[in-house]
Amino acid sequence: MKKQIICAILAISLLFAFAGCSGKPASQENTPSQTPSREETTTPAAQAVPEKVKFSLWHSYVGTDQRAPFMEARMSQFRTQYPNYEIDEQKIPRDQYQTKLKTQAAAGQLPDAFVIWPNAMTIEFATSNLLADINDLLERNPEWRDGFVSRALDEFTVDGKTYSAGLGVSVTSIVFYNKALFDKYNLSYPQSYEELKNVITTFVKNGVIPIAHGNKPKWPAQSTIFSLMANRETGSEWLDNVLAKNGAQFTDPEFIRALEKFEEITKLGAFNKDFISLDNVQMRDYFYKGQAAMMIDGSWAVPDVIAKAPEDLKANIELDILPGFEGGKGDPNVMSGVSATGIAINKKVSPQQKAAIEDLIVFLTNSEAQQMYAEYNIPVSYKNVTIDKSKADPIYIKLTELISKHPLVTVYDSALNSELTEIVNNGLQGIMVGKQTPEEVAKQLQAAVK
Amino acid sequence: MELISRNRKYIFIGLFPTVALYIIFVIYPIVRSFFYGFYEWNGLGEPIYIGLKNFQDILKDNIFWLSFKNNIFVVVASILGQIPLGLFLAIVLNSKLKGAGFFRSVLFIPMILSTVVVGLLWSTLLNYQMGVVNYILQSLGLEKLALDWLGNPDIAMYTVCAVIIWQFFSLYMIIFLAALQNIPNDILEAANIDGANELRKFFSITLPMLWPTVMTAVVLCISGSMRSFDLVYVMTQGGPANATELMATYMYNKTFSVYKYGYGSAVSLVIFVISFGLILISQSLMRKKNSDR
Amino acid sequence: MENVIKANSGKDLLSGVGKRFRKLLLYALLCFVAITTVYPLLWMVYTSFKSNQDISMNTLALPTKLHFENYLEAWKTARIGEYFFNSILVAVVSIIFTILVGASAAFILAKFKFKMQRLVYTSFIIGMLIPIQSILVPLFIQMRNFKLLDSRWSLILSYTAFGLPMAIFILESFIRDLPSEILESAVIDGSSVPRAFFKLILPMSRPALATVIILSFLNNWKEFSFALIFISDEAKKTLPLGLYNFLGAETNNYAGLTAALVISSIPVLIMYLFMQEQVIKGMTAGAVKG
Repeated sequence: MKKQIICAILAISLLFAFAGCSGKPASQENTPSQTPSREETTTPAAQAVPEKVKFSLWHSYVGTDQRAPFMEARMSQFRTQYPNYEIDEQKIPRDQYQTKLKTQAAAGQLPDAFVIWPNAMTIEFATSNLLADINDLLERNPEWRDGFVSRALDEFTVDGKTYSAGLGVSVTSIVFYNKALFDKYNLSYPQSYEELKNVITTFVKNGVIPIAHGNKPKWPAQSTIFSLMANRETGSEWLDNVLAKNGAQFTDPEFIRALEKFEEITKLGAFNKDFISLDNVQMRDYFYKGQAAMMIDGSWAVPDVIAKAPEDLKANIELDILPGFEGGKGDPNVMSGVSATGIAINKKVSPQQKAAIEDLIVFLTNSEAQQMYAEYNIPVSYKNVTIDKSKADPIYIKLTELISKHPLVTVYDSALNSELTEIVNNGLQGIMVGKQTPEEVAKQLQAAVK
Repeated sequence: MELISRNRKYIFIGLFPTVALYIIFVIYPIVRSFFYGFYEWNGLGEPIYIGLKNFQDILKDNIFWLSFKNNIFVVVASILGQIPLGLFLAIVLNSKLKGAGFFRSVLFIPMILSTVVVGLLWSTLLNYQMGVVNYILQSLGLEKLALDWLGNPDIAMYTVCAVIIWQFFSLYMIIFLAALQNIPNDILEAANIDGANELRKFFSITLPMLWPTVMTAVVLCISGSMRSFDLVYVMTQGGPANATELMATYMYNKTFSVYKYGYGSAVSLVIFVISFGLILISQSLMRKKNSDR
Repeated sequence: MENVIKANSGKDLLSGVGKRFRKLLLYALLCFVAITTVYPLLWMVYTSFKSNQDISMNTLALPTKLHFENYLEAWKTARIGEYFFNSILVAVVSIIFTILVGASAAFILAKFKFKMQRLVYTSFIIGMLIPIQSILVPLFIQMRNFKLLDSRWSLILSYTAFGLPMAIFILESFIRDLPSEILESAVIDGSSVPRAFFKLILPMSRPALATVIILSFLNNWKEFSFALIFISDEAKKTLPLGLYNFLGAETNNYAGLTAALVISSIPVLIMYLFMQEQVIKGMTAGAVKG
């Protein structure tokens, strides 16, 4: 009997001991980041003997990521150029990176430097006061700053403070099309919505999949197709007005028209029938096999196309954008895009660490780095980069030409917060499988605008 | 029994390490995760205490209730699918059947395979246009049965359940196989001499003797299905249009994708309470049934 | 199942023919299930020899050319050479702990009577009801409090603790069914309780122990979330962390992935083949003592 009581008391007191010492949620438990350099004296070191600076860096450029080979090459150059920096580099694949980073963020233990996504993620981290801005750095390096396309910095800017610079950009809505199939059925690339419908019906009639599409992950329809379709109908400022509650609403007729057109082409049979059970990678196989005439995908697909498309098909691949819509308010010349991810700095780092990480941010995005992007088929985030056409793959050259011709407009999932993004992604899936109507989705979106 | 009861100190010695380890690394973190459920917190900044607001929101959250419904479906399908199948196979493979060893080894494969492989392969096999399953159905003249297994929101949940049953039936098979070793052979043989047919033998000897294990299996089954995550994540990601959303995938999404950590924790507290309720109900139902015998 | 048996219950006249037919039906069913389980394994193995392009083009077809280099790539990308040993170490040590700690608790719960028995038993259910993803943060903080981050102990202790419920349930229901008289007579004969536990209970529980070992090994071997969160040190990472290097949002390298999975499945397969013998062997061992 006694033993039981002792046992129970022990167990309960143990429980409370732990609960007591940390009853509050974790983020207040600020642990100092592992920084030996912090304790070192901060005397201005002589130029000849640079001070050792240690920092941790987490990124997701690993494995199958498009930027993995670039990052590996560039980091080794960085280490050579700055031998006094000791970098504890953690490479974690993208989905797992998000889990690990957010767990550590919740526990108040972020790494010193880490990859961050533009827009929604930057806003959440910045408003939670976790990041150090790089406004100073931009001031000090006007040449570097002014080289960027505006998107690469703007999308990391919250309330006038910039937190990172994108390692390139991602164009989200490129129409890759198989010219041979268009020729075979005497079709030319559509220049209007009516022509697009005609192309779709012709292909369907002849047993060709008009557009290869895989929407299992839910974001592809929104990011690669619908963002631009909506822009064609509504124009660029409309979305900002909706979100700012400035006279526009998701239930406006132009937005509903965009949803209806999306529904219409789905019903016409624009996509392979199994679009809902394929992901955005698997769907490319229809295009590679020559069974689909088009596929709409982001610039991230380019390395895959170069690697996996059979040679005879590759010669026939052309790149273009969705046609303008008759009566739509949008500029028919734009396409949708977003800045790529960039490196952000933990607010808690020491000044020396901050300087070191800033060196890294510049090193990964300066004009030399931009040249390297081109070598690895990554769209550049600088305005003027001359590409060595003898070295680059023809498809990559077509991509850069496309980007130079068409200005980028916002993708929905970068303008919307994560909650609205979820609604639009699920809503588009609902429309595609006939579970929801355009009006319902529009209403649901408007209801969630805060 | 008395003799053992006299050695009371062993209760403490035997249980203490287990209970201590369990409290420190399981119970305490769970209790602590429940705290977050009462906060509005994006997982980054300062949490704000909001009392029961998260739980009120859950009550009004249509997608949560959809995922709840789907989850109950998975629980029922698992209990009615995995346990009887596992039990049947265990009994069959425990007999002197030729090739029993081979089947015992082979049937366990789904447990060994990575969920990524299971998800990828079944999605390919069940593909609407090019899947082998539909090809076979068509060549058998059963075109009507060649459905869009994972793409049709009305069917997708059934398909996912079938794959979940396939993936885990052998877990119960092996648990029952072990439990069957506890039934002395002479009892079964005596029944044979009496001429009891197999069905009677099953219901009057095997099942009652295995009953505690069946109850354990039901607990494992409920807790496992309420937490199922991986397979759905790989096969459908909760789609199409939330048709296969489960509570755990929904919770994960809220916690790690949309910066609603507090809400996600509240959802997991609700999952906890529901699972616990289900287990208590099932246990009391089964205990009654047992005492009837 | 009932149909199979019902089909010839009672009818002695037909029993000869019925038995044959029944057996045939049984084999047909077993073979059908076996085909659905063997094929995925075969698919994984032969896919590991295909090129990524080939997998894209003909997902289910046999390889036209054997790409052994996938294995080389798998070895490098998934860092199998470095992570393999860690996985084995963590999985095996955790199992030893699970068995020792779990079996003793199961024994106490099954064969002793005390006041808080139900409470203790029920509390082990609690650990199985929470989605792992929602306790990552509190558990991370707990490991930090104990200064266990980046230590193999963080994995060993958490795998043991989270493996306990299943271990205890399986072992408890098994040990409870063991005849109490054997234990009592052993204690009367002067054996101490721990001695009786190690010399009598454990050997007799062999089928259940083997089951627990199989299932715990599987769980520990495949476990990913804890390893991702607790371990940042390259030298201590486990295999599942390496496997995810093949899956990305933009492209997937299924050739490398399947090759890595084939390698990483081998220990589990060997473990199972060896242990399932033990599950069955218990029959004879138990019968002798019973």
